Amino acid sequence: MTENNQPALFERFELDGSMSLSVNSNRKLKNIIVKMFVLADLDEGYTSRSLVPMVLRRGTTRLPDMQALRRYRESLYGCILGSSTIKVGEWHTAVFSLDIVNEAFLPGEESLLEKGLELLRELIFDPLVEDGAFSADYVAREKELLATNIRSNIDNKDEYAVLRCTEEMCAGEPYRRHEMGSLDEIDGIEPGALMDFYRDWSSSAPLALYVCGDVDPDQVREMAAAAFSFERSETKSLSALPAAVEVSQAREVREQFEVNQAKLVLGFRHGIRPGDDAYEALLLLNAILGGFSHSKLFQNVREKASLAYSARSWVERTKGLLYMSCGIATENYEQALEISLAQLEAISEGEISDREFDASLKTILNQNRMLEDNFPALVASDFIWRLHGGELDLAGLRERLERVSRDEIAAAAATIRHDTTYFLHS
Amino acid sequence: MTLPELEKLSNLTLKEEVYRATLPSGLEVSFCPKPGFQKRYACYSTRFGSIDNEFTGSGGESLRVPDGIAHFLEHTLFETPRGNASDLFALNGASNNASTSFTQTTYLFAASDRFWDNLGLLIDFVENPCFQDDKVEKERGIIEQEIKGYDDSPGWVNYRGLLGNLFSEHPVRIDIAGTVETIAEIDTATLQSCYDRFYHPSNMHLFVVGDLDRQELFEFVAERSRAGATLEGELERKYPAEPAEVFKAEGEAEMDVAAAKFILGFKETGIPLAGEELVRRELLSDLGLDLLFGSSSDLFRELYEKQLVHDELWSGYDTLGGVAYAMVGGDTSSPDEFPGRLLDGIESRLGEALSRDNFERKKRQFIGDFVRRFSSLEFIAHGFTTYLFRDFDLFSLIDLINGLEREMLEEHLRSLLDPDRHSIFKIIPRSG
Repeated sequence: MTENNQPALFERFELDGSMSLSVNSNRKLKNIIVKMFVLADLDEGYTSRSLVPMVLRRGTTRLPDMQALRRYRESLYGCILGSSTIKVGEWHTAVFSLDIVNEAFLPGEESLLEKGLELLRELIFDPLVEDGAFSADYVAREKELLATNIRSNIDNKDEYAVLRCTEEMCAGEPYRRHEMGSLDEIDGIEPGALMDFYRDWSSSAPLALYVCGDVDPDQVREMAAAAFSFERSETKSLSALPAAVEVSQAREVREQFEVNQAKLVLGFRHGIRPGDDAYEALLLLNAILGGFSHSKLFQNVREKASLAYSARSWVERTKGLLYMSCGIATENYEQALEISLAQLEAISEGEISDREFDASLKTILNQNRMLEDNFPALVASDFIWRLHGGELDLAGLRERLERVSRDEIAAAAATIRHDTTYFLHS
Repeated sequence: MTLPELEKLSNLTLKEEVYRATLPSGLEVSFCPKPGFQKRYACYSTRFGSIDNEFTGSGGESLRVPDGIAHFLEHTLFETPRGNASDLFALNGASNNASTSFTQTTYLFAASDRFWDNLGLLIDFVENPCFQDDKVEKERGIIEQEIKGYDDSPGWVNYRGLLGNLFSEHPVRIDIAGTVETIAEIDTATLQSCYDRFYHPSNMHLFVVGDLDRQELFEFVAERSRAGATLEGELERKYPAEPAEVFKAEGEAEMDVAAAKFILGFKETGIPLAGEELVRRELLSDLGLDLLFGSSSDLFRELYEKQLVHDELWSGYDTLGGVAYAMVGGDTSSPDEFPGRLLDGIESRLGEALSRDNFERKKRQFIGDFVRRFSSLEFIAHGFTTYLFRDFDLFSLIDLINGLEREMLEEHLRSLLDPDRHSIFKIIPRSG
C-alpha cells in the first residue's frame, strides 16, 4: 500500500544484487508482457550500443539465424521479441521485450512463460559467437541496415525536423546524440571490438526487468531468478542528471527541402523533472499549451488561423525540454511563429480560461487513470520515475495535479526559455 | 421502457462475451463487458467510406458525389451548435478521435470517468449534423494541409501509387481524403445528401466496451439515440465495372528517401462483399502471404542472403467493394532487379513454403495473435465492428483459423498471385 492506500502498481524484487524485478499482476491481459532494460550513459559508445541489439536479434547459440528464431517464435504461438535502444535524457538504454500469450487461454499448453523467458535470456546474453566475436556477416549486414535507418530519418519530415532542432539546440551536450547512433562512426565498428563492448556493457550494466500479466509474482520471481542466474561483474553506476543550461538568446536555423508542407519546430528549456515541486504544473502547462485538441496551439494555429492540420507541444522530462511543432505552408512562417510563441507568453501572464484549465486537468486525470490499463506505457513511465529516484504513483500524481493553481502554471511558464527555432521549408 | 431482446455471443476459450441488440430505429448496438478496466471505450461507425461516391440518395434518386466527401463529412460533423465536439469531450476529460477508411467512418472516445456524459455527447454529435457554409470553408483549408502532408509521406505515396496502377475504374484508386480539386466541389448540400443516406441508424453500429452495467447501457442508448427518418428504397452502392487486368504494370515516384521502397501488388475482381467465405478468403490470403514472404520463409532467407532486401518484407491483403488486392513490400538497394526476383521466387518456392510443418506452425502463430489482441479494448471494438459490417462475428474467427486446411491454400495462392495480374510501384531516392 502507498501513502494514499492504493495498492502499489508493481511488486518489487531484487535479484542477485544487479537486477531489479517489478511485477504487475492483473486480470486484464490475455498475454504476458516482459521488458528488460539494460542501462548505460549516452556516451561516446552510443553508435556501438545502438548496433548491439540489432546484431543480437540475428541469432543465438541455440537458434543461430533469423529463420530459426522466427520459426521457434511461431511455435510459441507467435510470441513477439523486440530489441531497441532508447534515449532517456542523457541515458541510453537497450530495451528487450517479450510478448507471449498466457497459456490459460490455450487449452493443453503449459510452461509457455518459462520458454519465453528462456528465449529472452538467450537473445540478450547468449549470442551466436564465431571465433570469439559476433558473426562478421551479421555485423556487416546490421551496420548497413543501421546506416539506412539513420539515413531514413529524413523520410518522415515531422520527426526529422524535431531531430534537427534537437541537434542544433543541444549542439555541445550529450543529448545531441541520436539514440540510433552516428552515421560517421558505423564504418569503424569491427565484430571483435563490438563483442568486447557488448561483454563489458552486458556484464556490468544495471538491469531492470518488468513482467505484466495474469501471473503469480512469486512464481515469476522464481522463473526470472532461474532464467537470469549467471555471474556478472560489479554493476556500474550511471551519471547524474544533466545540469541546467542557460539560454542567452534564441537562435534560428532554416533548411530547404523539396516538400509540399513546411515544418516549424520550436525548442525550449525548462529543467523541471519528475519529483520536482513544479512537475505537475509543467504537465498542466503543456496540456493547456498544446497537448490536446482543446489546447491553445491547436485552437489558435489550426482552428482560428487555419494554418495547419496539426499544431502541438510536448514535454521531454529528463533532459528538461519542451517542443512545439506545426506543419504549415512556407509563406506562413512569420504568422505561425508569432502565434505559437504568443501562446506560451499568454500562459506565463496567467491568461488561462476556465475552460482551458478544466479541460486540461480533466484530460490529464483521465489519461492518468487509463494508464493503468496500458501496460507498455505503465512500464515505460515507472522505469523513468525510478531513474529519477522515485516510482510511479498514479494516485499520488492525481492528488498533486488537483492541487496545482493557475499561478503555479503561470510561474512554470515564465521559467521556460526559448532556445531554438528550426524551420524546414520548400 | 421495453428493450429489444439481447443476443449473447460468447467464446469459452477467450472467456469473453458480447451482447447485442437492434433498436427499433434499426441501429445495432453491441457491448463487451470488461470488469476491472479503468478505460471505457465506444465507437460509433457507419458503413460509409471513400469508395461510396455513387449511390441512391434518401429520396431514391441516383447521386454522384465528389471524391473525398466521406472524410470531409467526418471533419465537419465535429462542428456542433454547442462548439467543437472535441472541445466538449475535452471538457469531460475524454480523448476522442475519428477516422475514415475506404468503406467505413468511425467516431470514438475513451474515458475512465463521466462515461455517460461522453457517450451522450458521441451519440448527439454524430446524430445531429449542423452543416454551415463558413465551417465547411474553414475545414477545406485544414483538409488541404492534411492532403499535402500525405503527399510528403513515402509509404503513403507508394501505396496510393500501387492502387492507382492496379485499378483503372474502381474508386479504391482514389485517395481517401480526395484531392485539393475534388474537395473544392464539396458544399453543405452534398454533405447533407450523404449524411441522410449513410448516417441513417439502419446503416450504423455502436460498439461499447468496458466496466459497465449492460442493462443501464442498452437503456441509455435506446433513450438517447434518435429514430431514423423514412427512406425511399434500398441503399444501393454503384461501383463501376473493373476489368480483371491491371491498369498499369509499373510506376514510380522520386522522393527524399534513404532507400528505395517498392510494393508488388496483385489484383482480384468479383469478390463477395460479406460473409464467411470472404473472411476465410482473407485469412487464407494473410496466412499464405506470411508463409511465402515472412521472415521464417526460405524465399525471404534467400533474398536476404543475396542482399536484395534490407530488413523485413511486409505483406497484406484487403477486400472492399467487390475487389481485392494482395501486397508485398519492403526496402531494397536493387529496385530494378528485386521485384522480378520476388516474382520468380513465388513460382519456385510456393510448394515448399506450404509444407505441413510450416503450415501448422503458422497456424499456431495466428491463434496466438488472435488471443493476444483481446487484451486491447480498441481491438475488440474495431474488430467486432469491421467484421459485423461483413456479416461475420469476430469470436468465430478462431474456429475459422482452426478449421483452415493446408490443401485449401495452394490453389488459393496460385490464383491470388497470378503473374498476369501484378503491378509494381517504387519510390526512388531523389537524385542530386
